[in-house]
Order: sequence, then C-alpha cells, then structure tokens
Amino acid sequence: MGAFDPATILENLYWLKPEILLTIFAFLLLGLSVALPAELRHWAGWVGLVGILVAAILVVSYAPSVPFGAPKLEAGATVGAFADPAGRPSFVLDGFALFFKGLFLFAAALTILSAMKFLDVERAQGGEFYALVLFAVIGMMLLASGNDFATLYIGLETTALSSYVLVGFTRANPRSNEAALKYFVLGAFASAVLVYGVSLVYGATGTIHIGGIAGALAAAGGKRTLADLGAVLILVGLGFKIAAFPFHMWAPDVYEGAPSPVAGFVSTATKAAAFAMILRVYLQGFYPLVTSWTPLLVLLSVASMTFGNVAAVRQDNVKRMLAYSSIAQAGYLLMGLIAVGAARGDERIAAYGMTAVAIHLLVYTVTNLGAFGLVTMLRRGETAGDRIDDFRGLSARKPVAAAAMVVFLLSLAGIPCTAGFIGKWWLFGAVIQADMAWLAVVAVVNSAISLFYYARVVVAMYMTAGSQEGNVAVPAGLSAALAIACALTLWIGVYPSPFIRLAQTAVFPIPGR
Amino acid sequence: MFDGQLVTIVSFLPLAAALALIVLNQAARAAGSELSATVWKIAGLLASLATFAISLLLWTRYDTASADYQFVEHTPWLAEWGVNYYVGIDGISLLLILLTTFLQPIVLIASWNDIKHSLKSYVFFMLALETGMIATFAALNLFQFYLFWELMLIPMYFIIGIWGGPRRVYAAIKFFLFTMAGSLLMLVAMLVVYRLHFAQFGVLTLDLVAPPGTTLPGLLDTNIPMIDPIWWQTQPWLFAAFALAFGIKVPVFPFHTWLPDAHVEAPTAGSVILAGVLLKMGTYGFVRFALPLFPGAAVEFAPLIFGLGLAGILYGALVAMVQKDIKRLVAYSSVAHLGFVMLGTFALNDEGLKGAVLQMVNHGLSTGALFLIVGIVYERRHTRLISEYGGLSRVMPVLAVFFMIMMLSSIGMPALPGNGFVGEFTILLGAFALPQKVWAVLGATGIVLGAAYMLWLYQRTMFGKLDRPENQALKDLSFREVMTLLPLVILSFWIGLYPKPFLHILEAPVAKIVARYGGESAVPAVAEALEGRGGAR
Repeated sequence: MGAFDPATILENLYWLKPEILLTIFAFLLLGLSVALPAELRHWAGWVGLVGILVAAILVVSYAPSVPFGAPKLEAGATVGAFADPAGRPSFVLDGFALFFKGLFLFAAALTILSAMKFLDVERAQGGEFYALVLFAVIGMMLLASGNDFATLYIGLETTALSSYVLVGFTRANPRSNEAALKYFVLGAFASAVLVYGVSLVYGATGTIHIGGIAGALAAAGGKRTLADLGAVLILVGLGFKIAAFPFHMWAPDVYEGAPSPVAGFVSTATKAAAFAMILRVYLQGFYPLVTSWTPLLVLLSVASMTFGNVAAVRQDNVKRMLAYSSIAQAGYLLMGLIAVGAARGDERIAAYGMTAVAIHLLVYTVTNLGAFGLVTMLRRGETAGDRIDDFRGLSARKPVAAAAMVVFLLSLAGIPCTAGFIGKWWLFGAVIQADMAWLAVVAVVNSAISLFYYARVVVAMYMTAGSQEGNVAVPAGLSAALAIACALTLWIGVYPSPFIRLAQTAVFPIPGR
Repeated sequence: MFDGQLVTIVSFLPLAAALALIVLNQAARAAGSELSATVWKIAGLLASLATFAISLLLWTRYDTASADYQFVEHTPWLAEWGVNYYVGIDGISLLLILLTTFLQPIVLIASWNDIKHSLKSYVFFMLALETGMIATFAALNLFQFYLFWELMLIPMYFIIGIWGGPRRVYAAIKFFLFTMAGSLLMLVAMLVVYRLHFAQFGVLTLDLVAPPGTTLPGLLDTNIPMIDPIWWQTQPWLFAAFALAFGIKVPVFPFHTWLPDAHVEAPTAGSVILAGVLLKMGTYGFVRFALPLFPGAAVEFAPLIFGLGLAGILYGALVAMVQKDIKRLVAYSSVAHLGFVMLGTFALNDEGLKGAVLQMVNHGLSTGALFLIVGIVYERRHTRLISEYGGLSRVMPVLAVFFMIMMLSSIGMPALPGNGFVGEFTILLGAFALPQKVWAVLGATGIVLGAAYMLWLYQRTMFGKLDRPENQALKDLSFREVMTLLPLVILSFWIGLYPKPFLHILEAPVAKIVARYGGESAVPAVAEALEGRGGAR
C-alpha cells in the first residue's frame, strides 16, 4: 500500500525529473506545431533544444547523489524508484544510467541542430519532428534506468515507435515511407520475439526484475534450459535493435530512406539505447548464464563485423555504406561484452570491458552523427547528397567540411589521433585481457577492410574533380553540430582521459556467480 | 637552453608552422585578401630550414659516449594507462632525424614549380608529414610511436593521391591499405606485450624504458616467453606481427608490390621523401622495437629474414634491369638496397647494424638524388621512358655529372663519392662475421647486379647519340636545381671519405642493442639458427 501513497509517489518521481520535463516539452512542441504559423515553425527546434539542455542539467544534477560504480540494485536501494512489494526498484539511477542518459541527450541535441534547416529543404518543418525526437529520448532514458523487463520494454517501445515515425517523416518521399514501413514491420516482429523471450525467462525464474532473475538463476544451478532459451530470444530481439548480423537486414534500407538527420539519430542513439539494455540485462540479470551467451555474442560479433565491412565495400551510396559500417561497429562493440563474459568473474577485466563499450559508444555516436551531418549538408534542392559521387570535389567547394569528413572517416576507421582509435584501443585491449586475442585479430583484419571503403569517400572528396554547383552556405545549426562533433572527435582522440573517466562511470559490478 | 624540449621543438616546429599558416590565411581571408601561394612556399621552406638548423643543434649537443637516450622528455598523457609523451633520441634516431630534416628543405625547393594546383594544401601536408616522421623517430612510448607511425601515412596518402601521376588514386589507396593494414596486427601485438608487462609488474605502461629518474620497469624489461601455453603471447608470434608491419614498410620481398606504384605515381618530392625517409621507418622499427623486444625470436627468424632480404636484393636488381621507365627502375633499386639493409640488421652484430643504419642514410641520399634527377628530366620532357632519352650528357653536362656521382653512390663505388661503399662494406663485414659465408657472398653478388642496371641506365640515357630532336634543345640545370642536388652530393662525399663521425655516433647505441643478444655479438646464436640447429630456446 505504501507504493500508492501520494507522498511516496512524489518521492519516487523526484528521480524522474528529466523524463517528466522532456515529456512536458514534447507536448508543448506538439501544441506549437499547431499554433505556430508556418514561417515561425523552425523556432520549435530551439524550444526542443532548450528542453534537452534543461534535462541535461537535471541529469548532471543527480550525479552527486548517485553511487558511481556501485549501484544498489537490490532491496534498500538508495537511488531507485517504484519498488515492488519486495522493495526492489524498477527504476534505478546509477552511474551507468546517467552516462547513457547524457549520451542520448547529446545525440538528440546534435540531431535537432542538424535537422532544423534540413526540414525546411524537405518542406517538412514542424514541431512534431522535435516532439518525436524528444519522445524517443524519453524512451531511451527510461531504458537506461530500467531495472525490470516491464520498464525496459516500455522504454524500448517508446523509442522504437517514435523512431518508426521519424524515419517516415518526409512523407513526400516514397523511399522514406518504404523505410518506415520496413522498419516498423521488422521492428514489431523483433519486439514480439523479445517479449516471448521475456515470458520464458519469467516462467523460469518467476520474476521480471533484473536482480531477481540473477538471483533465481544463480540459485537454480544447472536447471536453466528455459532461461537459456529466453536469453537467446531476447538477444535476437536486441540484435535487431543494434543491427547485428543476421538481424541487420532493415538497416541499409532504413538508413538510406530515412531523412539524413534521422538516420544519424537511429544509427547512434537508438543503437546505444539497445546496447544499454544488453549491458544491463546480460551483465546483470543473465550473468549466471554467461557461459551460454558468450559464445553467441562471439558469433554475432564476428559475423556482424565481417559481413558489415565486406558489404560496405560495394556501396555507392554513402548512407548505405554508413549503414553497413554501423553493422560492423555493432560487431566491434560486442567485443567489450564478450570480454566481460570471458573474464571469468575477474572484476578488473569486466570493468575494462564495460569501459570499452561505453567509450566506444560515445566515440561512435559523436563520429557517426558528424558523418551523417555531412550527408545532411549535401542535401540541396534536387540533390539527395548521399551518393559517393555527390562528394566529388568537395575539398574545393567546402574545404573545411571536407576536412571534417576526413576526420569522421578516419575516426570510423579507427586511425590514431581520432576518437575511433581510442575506442578500438580499449575494445581490443579488453578482449586481449580476456585471453581472446584471436578476436582482436579478426577485428583488425576487419578494420583493414574498412579502410578501403572509407578511403573511397576521401578519394571522391580530394582526388576527383566535381561540379561547383549547389555551393550554398551551410546553415548555422548544422555548422554548429558539425563543429561540435569534429572537435570532440579530435579531442577524444588526442586527450581521452576525461572521456574515459566519464565512460568509467558506466561500470557496474558484475554479480558474483 | 631548452635542452629538455629540443626534440619536441624539432618534431613539432613544422606542424606548428603549418597550423600558423592556416590561421594567418583565414585571418587574411577575413580581411578580404589571402596569403599568396608564394608566401606559403617561402614560409614552408623557412620552417623546414629552421627545423634543420635546430636539428643540427641536437647533433652538436649529442653525447656520443653515452648509450642512453638523450634529450629525454617525459610528460604524462594518459598516465593511468601507461601512455606518456616520451621522447628521446640515441645515435640511430639522431641520424635518421637529421636525414629527414636535411631532405625536407631540398624537396620543398625541388617542388617549387612542380606543384601546379592546391599549393597551400601541399605545403601543409609536407610540413605535417615532416612532424610525423620526426616524431616517429623520437618516440619512446609504444602508443605514441604507433600514433605517429600511422598518422604519417595520411599526409603521404594525400600527397600521392592529389599531386601524383595518372594512376595516382590507385597508387595512393594501395600504399595506404598496404601500410595501414600491415600495422594493424602490430597493434594487437602491442596490446599483448602491454598485457604481459602488466601481468609481470602490475603496472600499466607502454614506455619502452624507464623514464629518467624512476625505476619503473619499461616494456623492454618484460620477460616475453619463447614458449607458452598461450601461444599468442610468445616471442615468435609477437615478433611476426611486428615484423609484418615493419616488413611491409621497408619493404621486404614479397611485400614490396605497393612500392613501385607509389613511387612512380607520387610527385617527385613525394618519391624522395618516400624513399629517403618513409622506407627507413620500417628498418628503424626493426632496430628500435622488434630486435630489443624479442631477441629470442629475432635470432630464430634471422635465417628467414636473410632469405627474404637476399631475395629482395636479387629480385629488385633483376626486375630493375628490365624496366623501361626510369622511375620504376629507381623504385626497384630501392627494394634491392633495403634488402641489403635487412641483411646487415639481422646479422645482429656491431658491424652489421652500424652498416645497416648508415646505409639507411646513404640510400636516402642516393635514391633521393636519383628521384630528383628523374623529376628534373621529366619536367622538361614529360616522359620517363628510357628509350626516349640518349646522349643527354651533351646538352645537360651539369646534370650528367650529378647523375654520375649519385649513380656511383648508389652502386657503392669507393671514394667517388663512396658513401654507398662504406655502408655496403660495413654490412658485408657484419655478414662475413657469420660462419656461413654464403649469405654475404650472395649479397655481394647483388652489388654487381646493382652496378649493372645503374650503369646501363646511365649509358642509355646520358651517352649514345642525341638523335631525338626534342632532346636537343633541353636546358641544363637551373640554379635552383643545382641547389637541390649539391647538398646531397656534398654529404655523400663527406660520408664516403670521412665516415668516422657518423659511425661514431652509432657506436654506443648499437652496442647496447647487440648487448641484448648476450655480450659481444649474436654471431654464435645467429650462426646456430642459420644452420637450423637453433630451434626454440
């Protein structure tokens, strides 16, 4: 009965301030899109940005009260809300949740900055776009804090539903519609598989609470076939969300059809959110099953990076190429989880692996948003701006933008002095610490393949002549987004210490087996 | 003054100048004008000359008696994870840094009128490249070494790809992919050494040796097993990963296929720097990292490397002989010469190593000069086909003299100018110290072949009938062109006639590396390995 007492509810809601605030802003934006005359609609973007900024401040304000590195997931949590009768919170705030919330807000801010002018070009300006971005972020933030499958699923679906609409936002463009439909149908199917997996796990353990599942599985000992099956099905659902091979089929079509800023958002924030869920579910709840899922992750990882990189080589469309590259990146990211799985309970290696995933997610988000920002920039009148040919001669037309694109591509390829190298250094280091050097070798062979297709874009920009047409000024918001992404990519590459420390806040202790 | 920072100043002066130029250019653009291309060229030249001057200061202050790293600077970077900004030089790096700073102004002068478009970017990339090269030679932290090692490729990629010949894009991508891909396995091996070191000492570090004033164990103190249940943390595998990265860069036969393409398509300045300095990164990597880190494996692999080096010498020479294109011929001659350097390096004794390092410098001078000469005639005739030339010595006598001297340097003629002779002779001394004389004998055969293709090239281009009308009106060298070749000739004569100061610099650091192979030299161990009785120790 305590849980329904108004004072308790208010107390619990205290920890959801950023989410609540963003919800208010999202509804405000929906209202504005009706109320504002067409010529003032682009102001909605700024309203959305203000909302994100305030939410970010709120997220940071929790930092002092959150036990970094030592979340209280069990009964008696100091920072948790909406506990079940046993006192286990379904919503937790720990360093992990805060890190990811910050990351999502950052991605959303950059997306809105890149989209503001773009929507004018597409004649799709309106508050709904920004409201949908905010709804997606709210879902992701819930996901980062989710501590039972109900909360996690609500977060996941809020994100997914908003993303489906965002992908189809340019209604006049048939490709965008097609992409949205594909994304929706396949996404719904993946969600169904995931929920089925959850139901099996519930059947096996009698709880949907992450900590409870870990406890029940540890107690069950060898009898866990049902739970294993559930874990596999959940991995299928999440594998879809992170676009890991063989659940990647939607990604190239969706990225290509989606408006470029949305493609950037879906490829970074949505992927990071799904990774947050994988980390929470597999490294907490399913940790007792570690021997079952580690080989599966190895399989997914190797297949994703190999397939993604090989397929990317043949692409002539930059967005498709980035889609395949993002499939490969999902493969790299899984290496960090594999390292935790293969660490056999070694706390130091587990922490190393989690740091690696967190830092590489940050790196990848910054870099990929930058790369999609460049594609957004090339959208002009009749040019879609996403073919490699559209990049021809860019160094002469827009030397600064071309240089920024080189930085993003080098970072995606993992070349030193850019953020990507730091991410790979940590990921490779993690698997080597966990005695899996062969996986690092597979990854570097893949990196070598990836150099080829990233170099193709550089060739187009610097070594082939292009037309001087469409040389229009870059809108201020997009310039700012690109400048932020480029500066961060170089900063993380040259002096990563503060960012690694930030990523280390996302480390939580693995439960004892 | 600034002694502690001298290496940093030398390394980063070119990049700082390049960045300053960009800032000034943007400022001028904001004011409505722009820095003209000439200003960029002059500023770039001045920056590289200043770098050369400061690097001479390094030379004068270098203490040849000490085997320690000098001008050491150690600044925490990501100290928690053992990554530090750690620079310092010994005689080996000093010579290679001097070679770099010496060649850089020369190539900038050589390309003065060569570069027709995007000249500002060209100056920027050249200066950035110089920083990358010097910083690689000075790095004593493995992370930092890797960083500059890869970073340096990017300006070179652009230099080949933007200002190169007709097949420049292909050549640039091939160069980039070969060298980048090769070094990726080294990255894994580095992380494995890092892990081994941590397991043994409980400290995370990537410093090669303990920084001055501390007793922290460096990576060189790690005991890397020859045999271990975890196969990938044994010396042979780690050595192989490093050797692949360095071997592609050298290039050791059969990883040389990128080299002719890159050389032929690169603009003259690019070819000179590529042959003069970039190839030395590979051999330097062997000397600085692979040999000291994995002594056991180096001995075990010595026969293989000998074989590959020799194959390179013979193959490079034979292929050079049949080339129709002058630049391709010079490119293949590099394969042969660097095979020689590998032979000296893996003799693993004092003479061999000293000769190898000296020969790295000599090859930089002679091949650099040959590429300059090719560039000079190409600029006039727009062809590099040997058959298009003949009798040039009559219209271009000054060029003929320079060509003669540097060609003789390349084939190892004693005393004229003799630098190639000194280098090859010292290497052969090292190789003959091994009981199996056959390697040295076969290597010496390579010298004969080298003489054959070079002399034949000279005969076909410079002598004979001046029958082509286009060739009859060719102008001899301009003052600028003489100024690019003269310093190379002077330095070649110096090394050829009085090599002592150069060999003296190498004395102490080489002895230190050889000492890791158990005392005076590794001759017995290498000899044993060559006879196939080495096996795992």
